[in-house]
Amino acid sequence: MKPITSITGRAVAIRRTNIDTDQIIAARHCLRTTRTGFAEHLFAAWRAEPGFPLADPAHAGATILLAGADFGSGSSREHAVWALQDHGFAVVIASRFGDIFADNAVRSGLVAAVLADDEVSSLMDAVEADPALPIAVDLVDLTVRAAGIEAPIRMDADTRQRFLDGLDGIDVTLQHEAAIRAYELTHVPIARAS
Amino acid sequence: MGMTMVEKILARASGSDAVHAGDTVVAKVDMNILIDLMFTQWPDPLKIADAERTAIILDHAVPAPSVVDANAGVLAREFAARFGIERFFDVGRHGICHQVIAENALALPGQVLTCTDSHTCAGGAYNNAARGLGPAEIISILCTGQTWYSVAPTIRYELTGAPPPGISGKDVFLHLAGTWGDATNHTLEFGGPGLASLPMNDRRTIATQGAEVSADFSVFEFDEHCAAYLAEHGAPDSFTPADPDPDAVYAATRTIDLGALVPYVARPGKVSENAVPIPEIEERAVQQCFIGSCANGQLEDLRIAADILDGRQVARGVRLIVTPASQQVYRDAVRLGYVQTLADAGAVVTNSTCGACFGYHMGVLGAGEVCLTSSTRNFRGRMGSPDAEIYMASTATVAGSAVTGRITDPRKVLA
Repeated sequence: MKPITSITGRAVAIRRTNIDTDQIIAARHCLRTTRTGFAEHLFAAWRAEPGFPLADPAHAGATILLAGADFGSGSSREHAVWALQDHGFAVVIASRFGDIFADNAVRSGLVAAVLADDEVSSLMDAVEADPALPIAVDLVDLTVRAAGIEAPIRMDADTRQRFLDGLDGIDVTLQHEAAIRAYELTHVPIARAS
Repeated sequence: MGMTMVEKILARASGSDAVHAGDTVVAKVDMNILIDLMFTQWPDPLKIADAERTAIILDHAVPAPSVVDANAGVLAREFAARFGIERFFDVGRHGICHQVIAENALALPGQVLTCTDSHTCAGGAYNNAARGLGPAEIISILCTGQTWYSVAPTIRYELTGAPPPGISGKDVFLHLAGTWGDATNHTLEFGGPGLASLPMNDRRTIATQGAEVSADFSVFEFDEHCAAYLAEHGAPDSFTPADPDPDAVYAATRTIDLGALVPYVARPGKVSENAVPIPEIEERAVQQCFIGSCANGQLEDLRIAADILDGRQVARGVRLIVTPASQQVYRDAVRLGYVQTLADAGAVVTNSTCGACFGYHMGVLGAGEVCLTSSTRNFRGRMGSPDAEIYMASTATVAGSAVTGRITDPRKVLA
């Protein structure tokens, strides 16, 4: 994965809470053995609705998604993360995330940034007033900045470090490769294919 | 400071004397479950930690409705054979994983179980710290035998009284979700003097649906009913249940008087803060009624449905689809005559699968249709067309409503 220290981009706000993974991408659209090609099904039902902000040309190219509390609840499908990334989102900002979604996001390099509810609302107001407003998400000092707003990001130290170093779980494990080899030489082999 | 049930289980699993909310622990996993969907994005590990602590259960798309699913089955069979995984539940021995876990006593009291499915918290009915995790973490557990948890604060539900006739675990859960809403990043714990009046199937419905309030774990106290269930299903005696300490610390303690409950219905869209007592939406016309899923496809659900439909007919213009939670449930329901009764009433009894619950096959909804379901989720588009509406209620309410064609208090049908 690519290291991420900061991301600055335009944002789009979806003012809904409990955006479950069935809304992000329906199960019937997850039938692929690749991890790409899901963008067209992202929020498919909502994009057909008039006035849905993702369909608004003013927000085209937005890389930051602002959403209501409990984003990514429901089914554990990783495709929800992949669909958001495929569409071009690098960051989702909300006051609470479904736990499995948040974990899937870290592993795929999508930043799930937790901000206080009122700060998410302030950012939504700002973005709706000015769709061209740049928002800066800084993982070095864990702060979101836009239009005079400075909001701290709540993120555990390990997750932050993974983004800064661009490491996924396998990369982290491989940092200990020498120790793993030494251990395996001195211990009974674990299950292997026969 | 005392420990809650989950804190105690995670302390044991991590070799710690004490674990409390806010801690991060690395825990040994007693049972890791792989489901068929895992094999559609399969990394094919070269080594695994322990075949004995691994089970493979084909459940979401069985028998395969697509070539992608069929190919996943091929990979699952090859993987099970290559590593000698004995607990492999292929088509014919299959079922929704949480039902198969229960029938084979794979979720034991005081232990830790993991699986990608978000309803894995179902295992909490058996005093087990079970929860869903992302697919990448499940692969990591497959290879290392361990996982980590950021220990969440616990909400304690103190149950009192006994549910009146016609009221089941679904009503208990819908009351809870409608009253208190989401429990994101929290664990639910159930106990109290009313617990003895809740049969194991109802406990499983409630534990399963912890996912719909975004809880981490959803765990019940161990008691003699749980012990009897596990013994009946071949559990070894080598487990140690976890009781909460009297001085355990809770984020909140709430009481549910089971005796005061009425049938509940969740309105379309979400479950939390969206479930109401049935009089508020009674009489809504429905086109499809669905009984099934890990929450409510149990043998008791088929019995309740058969009791209500015995000598009655599914209303004209309504489809009633019943999906047993496992092949074992299906076989028992055939033996006990429930399938005959349901089919005679005009219901379709399908093969066991996650199927219609996640809008994949065996009863998806079309645009403009209204469904009343006893399955797990009423999210928009969950069961098919995003232009269908999904209401959620107990199996009794769904079966009663299939007879009238309208959302109906089942006690009126039986009266």
